Amino acid sequence: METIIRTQNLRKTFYTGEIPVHALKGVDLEIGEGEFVVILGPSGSGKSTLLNILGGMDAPTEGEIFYRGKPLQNMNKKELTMFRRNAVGFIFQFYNLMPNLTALENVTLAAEITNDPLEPRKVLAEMGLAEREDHFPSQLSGGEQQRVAIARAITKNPDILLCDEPTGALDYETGKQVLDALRNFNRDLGKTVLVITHNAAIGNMGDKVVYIKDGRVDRIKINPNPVSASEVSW
Amino acid sequence: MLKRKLLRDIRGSLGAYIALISVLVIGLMLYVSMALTLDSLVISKDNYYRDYQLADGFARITRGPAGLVADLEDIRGIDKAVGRIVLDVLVNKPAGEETTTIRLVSFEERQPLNRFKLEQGKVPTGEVREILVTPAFLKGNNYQIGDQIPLIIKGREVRFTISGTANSPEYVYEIPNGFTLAPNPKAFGIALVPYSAIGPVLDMEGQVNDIAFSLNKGTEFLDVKTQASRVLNSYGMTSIYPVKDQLSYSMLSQEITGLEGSAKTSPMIFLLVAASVLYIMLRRMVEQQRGQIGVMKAFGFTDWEIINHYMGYALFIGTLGGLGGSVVGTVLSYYWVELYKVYYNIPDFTARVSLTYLLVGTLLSLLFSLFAGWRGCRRVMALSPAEALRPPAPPAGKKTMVERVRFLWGVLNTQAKMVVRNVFRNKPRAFLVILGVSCSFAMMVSSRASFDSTYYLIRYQFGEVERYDIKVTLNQYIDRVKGVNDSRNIDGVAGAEPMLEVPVTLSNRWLQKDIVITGLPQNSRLYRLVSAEGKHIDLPDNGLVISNQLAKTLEIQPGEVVTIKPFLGDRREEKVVVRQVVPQYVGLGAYMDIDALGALIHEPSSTSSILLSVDRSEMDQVRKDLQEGRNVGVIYDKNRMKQQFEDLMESYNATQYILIFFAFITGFAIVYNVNIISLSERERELSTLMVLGMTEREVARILAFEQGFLGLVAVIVGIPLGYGMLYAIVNGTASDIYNMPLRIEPVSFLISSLGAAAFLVAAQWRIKGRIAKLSMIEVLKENE
Repeated sequence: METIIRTQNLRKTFYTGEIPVHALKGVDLEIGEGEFVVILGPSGSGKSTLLNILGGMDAPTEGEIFYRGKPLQNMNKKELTMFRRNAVGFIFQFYNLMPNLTALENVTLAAEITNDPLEPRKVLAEMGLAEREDHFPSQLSGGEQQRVAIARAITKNPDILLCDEPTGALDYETGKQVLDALRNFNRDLGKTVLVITHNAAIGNMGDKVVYIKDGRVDRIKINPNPVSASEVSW
Repeated sequence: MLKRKLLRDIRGSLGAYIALISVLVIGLMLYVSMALTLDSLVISKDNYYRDYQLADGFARITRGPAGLVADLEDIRGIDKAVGRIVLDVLVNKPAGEETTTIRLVSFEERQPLNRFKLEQGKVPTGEVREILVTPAFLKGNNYQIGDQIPLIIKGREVRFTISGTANSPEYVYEIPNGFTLAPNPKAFGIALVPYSAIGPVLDMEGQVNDIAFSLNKGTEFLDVKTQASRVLNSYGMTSIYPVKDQLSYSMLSQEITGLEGSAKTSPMIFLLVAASVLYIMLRRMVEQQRGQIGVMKAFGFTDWEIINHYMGYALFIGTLGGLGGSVVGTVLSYYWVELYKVYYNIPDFTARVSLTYLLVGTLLSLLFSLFAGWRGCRRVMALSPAEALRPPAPPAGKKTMVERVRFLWGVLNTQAKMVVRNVFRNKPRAFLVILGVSCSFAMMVSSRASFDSTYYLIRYQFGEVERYDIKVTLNQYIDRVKGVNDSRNIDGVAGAEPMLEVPVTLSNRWLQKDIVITGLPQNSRLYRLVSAEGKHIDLPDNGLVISNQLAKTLEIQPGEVVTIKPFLGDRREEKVVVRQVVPQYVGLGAYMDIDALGALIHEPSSTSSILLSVDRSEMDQVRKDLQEGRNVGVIYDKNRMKQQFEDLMESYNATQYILIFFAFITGFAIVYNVNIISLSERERELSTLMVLGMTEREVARILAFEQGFLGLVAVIVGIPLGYGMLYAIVNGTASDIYNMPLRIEPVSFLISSLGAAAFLVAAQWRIKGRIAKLSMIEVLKENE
């Protein structure tokens, strides 16, 4: 299995006011191609900061991060944008859909800026939203909105999908549907998926579970038999 | 403590506040400066006319005994009457120098009407040949008091000494006739001369040729016109008119009307724009600070205290804009007054600092700002604390009308669709942008176009219609053939044609107008009638061709019949058909075949003027030769007039660019502020786009397309709006003397479009900087 992302001694310090906040205090991590990785940690542990750096939205204060051997910390703004554009798909806790685009248009928008997109309508249909494609976000439920957001990320056909608390704002059943969709993307297309959560139960789904505590990797658990979303409960 | 929040908020978006305040300052500056100037002008004018007893009516006769004024004073309604000698004469100058015409106006000691104000020197006694000239004339010709001016009177030189300077209420605007639009002391001036000094020189002792009279209180000019005409007709009356038609008086009135119109309208545009922008800014701020408002309410601040806080922004802007504008406006009024004094001779006309206008200006600014502020923040009251703390309902996406046009919608990509929906998302705001940009565009167009119109007028009048070089107006009618032949014999004269000018009363039903009919030979080469389409019109053998302004005044159409009653000859009324209407921008013209016109007054072979075409190189010599002609009254050099016109326009050029600059600032302020607001509302969306992998450039492009689309619509709306504004300007200044053509050159649209594009781009450029500063992480972490 090839390594898709590797970090070395990754540090991030924020300066809010005059007190420095050390969000990451030296993270070493390796993620293999096609892995389903769950990053677990309490709030404030630095996991979102890590995700932002992995996704090229933020730069580390210190340390190195490699995407397929290429160092991200040396990329300029433009290169980082291109990295986000073609290699990464993001999913947020709050779906961040364009309010004035329909479900299908939201997905198409992402497809239009990518080199090798998947067919938006098909992706949306796979998310079970074929009937809802002409609806605006304000006309969709939270679960539906999140699935549109997933479809939007998937349609770009990214190598790696980064999900920040994707079920955080959803009820139990809907949350499981969403996780199922992520798992399918990982299984069917062999793409890497990284899920950040504070929900320990989701850890059972991961090929690999990374426990983050106080800005450091606390431990890593390899899961030889990850379960499906339907088997997870919390 | 809230005050501190206010100041910090303002500092936070300083650019937006500065832009807004600038628009207010511009609006008030225009208002205060124009209102102050107008006030000073009206007061000084009224005082001047009253203190120096400007007459209520005027009449021109060929010649009559001085005693006829007693007959006039016997008419019920006429209070006082004075008889004068008024005559245009030439200054004897060496060849090559500009021809100067002086209008000699006689006066008598203790004259009850049209008294003059001595400015410098002393009043001539009448025992020696002494005159008073206007200060403008003295200065313009570099004369000193004590200098002698050689005049050509009845073909010989007579020298008069300048004993001093004086202004007359009759010649506030010192021009010889309605065809001259601006005073030029080198070409024309007034000289006041004691009756006893001029009478003998002209062989007119005991005689007068010009009458001025005043009316009793409650009497109108029309009440006495018929009776006065009866008295004066026997002395060859050529015109009788009320003071409102007197040239200088009407030019000044027209200027005042125009200034009044500008003072009322143009500042309002700026104030309205500023108010609208302030309204949406505050509205947005209240929306954005919902949470803060909730906290304040939860702490127990009253609605009133919170509103007070938000009104503080309006108060701040209104006060600063108002005071700034009023102060700058007051200063500017000094400049305006100085500018007016160049053209209008009004003694005691000075700019003043007026506390009233300082107050009125500031109040006006506060009124607009506070009203807009109130409208913007009154929803604070509707919020309950808990509600305020909750985020507002998410914006609902909606399909737009454009989507109904399926085939068009189908071709758009998703980004384009987003642009279209965004444009329609906030209709009032889109409307405001369109309104603001189109107003600013239209202001640019109309200020450019008033120049287009004037240059068109110059080209039309001096290029197409008047083809001669020199027009010689004679002191009396002479034989047409002899006049033309004599002129042709002057070296350098290439061609000569007669022109017969006959003062008449033209009437259609109850409408009537005193005008001068111009008689032209068939196929005149030196004076041509030109249609609106620029085509040469043949003069009909009989019947009239009249100007459109005259047709409007008399409500007459081609083919209809008017009554002509000449002031000359036996004054017999005759009916004449109006054959055609032509555009004419200066004066109320009417044209006729010269023979037909001559027959009308029983002067079949007379002419009153000679038109000459002259070799350029011989111009100076020809003018010199003409000066010595016996019957020569006025030598009118068309090319010089044209030049003077162009110079005048040139001197106004700066004003044009200042107005365009103001329009630019206004447009920028609107677009920039609206952009900032849109951006703050949409930070989240735009960040999402960047996370998706769009470059800053692509994100900025989406906003740019939205602005571009609105800008395009605004320019399209602005074209008719610009025409409308120009029409209002043209209509507002139209008079019997002068009506501007409505003319906008394509290049003006182009320049204005570029101006609009420039401020759209400038605003966009500022926005791009803000996009670069967007933090994806922080924005997206928040709840919606």
